[in-house]
Amino acid sequence: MKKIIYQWIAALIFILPLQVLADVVVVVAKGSPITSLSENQLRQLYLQGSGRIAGNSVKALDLPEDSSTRKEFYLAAVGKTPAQMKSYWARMIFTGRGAPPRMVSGDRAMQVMLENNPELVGYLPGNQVSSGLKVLYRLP
Amino acid sequence: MELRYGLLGALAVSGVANASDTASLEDLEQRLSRLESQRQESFSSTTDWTDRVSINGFMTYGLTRHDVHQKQGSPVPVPNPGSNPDAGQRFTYLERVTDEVSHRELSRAGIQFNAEINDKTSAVVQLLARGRDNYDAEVQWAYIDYKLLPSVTWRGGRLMLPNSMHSQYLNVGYAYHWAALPSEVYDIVPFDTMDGMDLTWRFNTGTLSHELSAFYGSLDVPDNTLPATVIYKGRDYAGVNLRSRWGDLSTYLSYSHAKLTADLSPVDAALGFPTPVFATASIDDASISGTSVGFTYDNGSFMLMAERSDLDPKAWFPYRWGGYVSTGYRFGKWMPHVTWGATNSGDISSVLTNASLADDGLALSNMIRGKSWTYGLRYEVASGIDLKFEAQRFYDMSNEKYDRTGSNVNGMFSSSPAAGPLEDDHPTVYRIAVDVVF
Repeated sequence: MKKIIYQWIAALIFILPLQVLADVVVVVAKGSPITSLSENQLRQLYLQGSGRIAGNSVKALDLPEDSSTRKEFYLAAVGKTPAQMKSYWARMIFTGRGAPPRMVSGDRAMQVMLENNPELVGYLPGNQVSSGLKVLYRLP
Repeated sequence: MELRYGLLGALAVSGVANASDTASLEDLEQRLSRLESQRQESFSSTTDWTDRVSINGFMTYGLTRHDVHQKQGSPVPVPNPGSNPDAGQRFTYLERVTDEVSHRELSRAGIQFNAEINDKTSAVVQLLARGRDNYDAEVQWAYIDYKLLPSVTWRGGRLMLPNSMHSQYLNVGYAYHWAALPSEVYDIVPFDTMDGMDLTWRFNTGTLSHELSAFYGSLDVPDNTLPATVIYKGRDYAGVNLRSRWGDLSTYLSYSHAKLTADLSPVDAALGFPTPVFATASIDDASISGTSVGFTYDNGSFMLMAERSDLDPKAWFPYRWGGYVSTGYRFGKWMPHVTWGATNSGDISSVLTNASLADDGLALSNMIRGKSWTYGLRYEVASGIDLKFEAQRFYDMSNEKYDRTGSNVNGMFSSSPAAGPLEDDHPTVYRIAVDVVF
C-alpha cells in the first residue's frame, strides 16, 4: 500500500511540473494547405489578427484573457505581456487599423473551431492537440 | 454538431412554450433541417450578425487643476486690440484648466461600431463625447473601408489626422501611459479630424513591417478663442506617413501640407471697430505644412519614447516645434514614468516687421515657448482598466528672443499678452485619471 502511495507521489512530482511547463504549439486543421509557419509570420499574424500565409488568407484565434497558455504564447511569440497587448489593440481598434483575433471559450472550443475551419490558426498547450489538428510551430 | 444541439435545444424550449401543440419528433426533425438550411444560407452569404458587427468603446474620467492662484490683468482699456477680454478671470492652462478642480477637461467617452459588409468592405463609425464639450457627441471617425488588394486598404469619410505618433488615438487614454498627451506636441495643431480619404499599404522588408499611408481631404475648424467665431479652412490637405515596426521598436514619420484660409472680419464687427483691424490679418490660401518624427521602444518592462513635431504656417501664425522624451519602467502593475517636453515658436520676424497691428498682436499671443517635466504613475487595475497620477511642472516660458511689449511670456497659460506675466515661474498642472477600454 505504502509502495503505491510513493509511486503516486513520485508520479505527481514528475507529471505536475510537466503540465505546468507544457509547451505551447501553433495548430491548424489537418486539412489546411499550410504546412509551415515562420516566427516572423506568426508574430505578424497575431499583431494583425489576420493575414496571408503561403497565399492563403488566415485568421487568428485567441484563448480567453485569463488563460495561462495565452499569456505564455504572447510572451514567446510576440514578446508582449497581456497588458501591452491590450493597449496595443486599443491603438489598433480605435484607429481602424486592425481587429484582434477572435476569442474562443477554451481549449476544447479552440480544437473544434480549428478542426472545422481550415482558414483559422490557433494555439494550444502541447498536450491538447487533437487528432484533427496538425502542429505548425512549437514555441520554445 | 454543436450547432445541431443548440437548435434542438431551441426547439425544445419552443416546444415547452407551446405545450399544447403536440409536435411529433418527425415535425421537430423537419423544422430542424429547415432551420439548419436557413442557417447555412446565411453562413454562405455572410456569417452571423454578431460576427459582422462589433462594438468597442473607451472612457476616461479625470480630474485636473493647476496651482496658479492669480487673476489675469488688463493693462489696456477696452475696446482695444491689445486689451484682455478675460481680465479678472483665473489664469487658464490651454484656455480651459484653472486652479479649480475640473472634472470635465480630461473626461470623455467614445464608442465605435464596426460593420463588416463583405470580405473586402466594412463601415466604421466612432462617436466621441468630451466633458469639456458638455458631452455633446461628435463624429471622430466615419468611413467606408475597402480592401483594394490584400495589403492595400482605401478609406473614405471622416478620419482623424495622423499629425503625430499618437494623434489618431489621442482620446483613448488607455492607449498611452500619460493622463494627458504632452501638450508641447499635441497642442501645436488645433484640429484633429478631416473629411477625405486615405490609402494604406502594409508591407514587410525582412523582419521589419511597415504601414505606409497617404491621405487627401479638407477641414473646417471653428476657433472660438477670439471675440467672434473664426472658421479656419484647410483645403487640399494632403500628407504621407510611415509606421515601421521591428521587434520592440516602432518608428513614425509624417509630413502634411494644406492651403489655409480664414476670414477674421467678424472679429472687428464683434468688437465694434469702425475700420478693419483684424480683417487685415485674414489668411488667404496660405501654405501650411507639418512634420513629425518619433519612436517607441517597449520591451514589456522598459519603455522609451521620443517625438518631435513641427508646424510651419506661412502666415502670422508663428512657426512652432515641440518635442518630448519619455521613459518608464513597469514594476508588475505599476509604471512610474518621467517625461521632458519642450516647445518653441520662432521665425516670425517677417510678421513682426510688416507693421500690421493685428498680425503683430495675433503673432505675439500665439507665440508659445515652454519646457516641462512630467512625473507620472500608471497602475493597471485590471485588463482594460488603468489609474493614472500625474504632475507636469512648467518652466522657461518667456520668449526672450522676441521679448518686447506684448509678447506671450506665459507659455500655454493664458497666452493673451495683456493677461500679464505669471508670478510663479514654475506652474504645475495636476491630473488624476481612470481609463477603460471595452
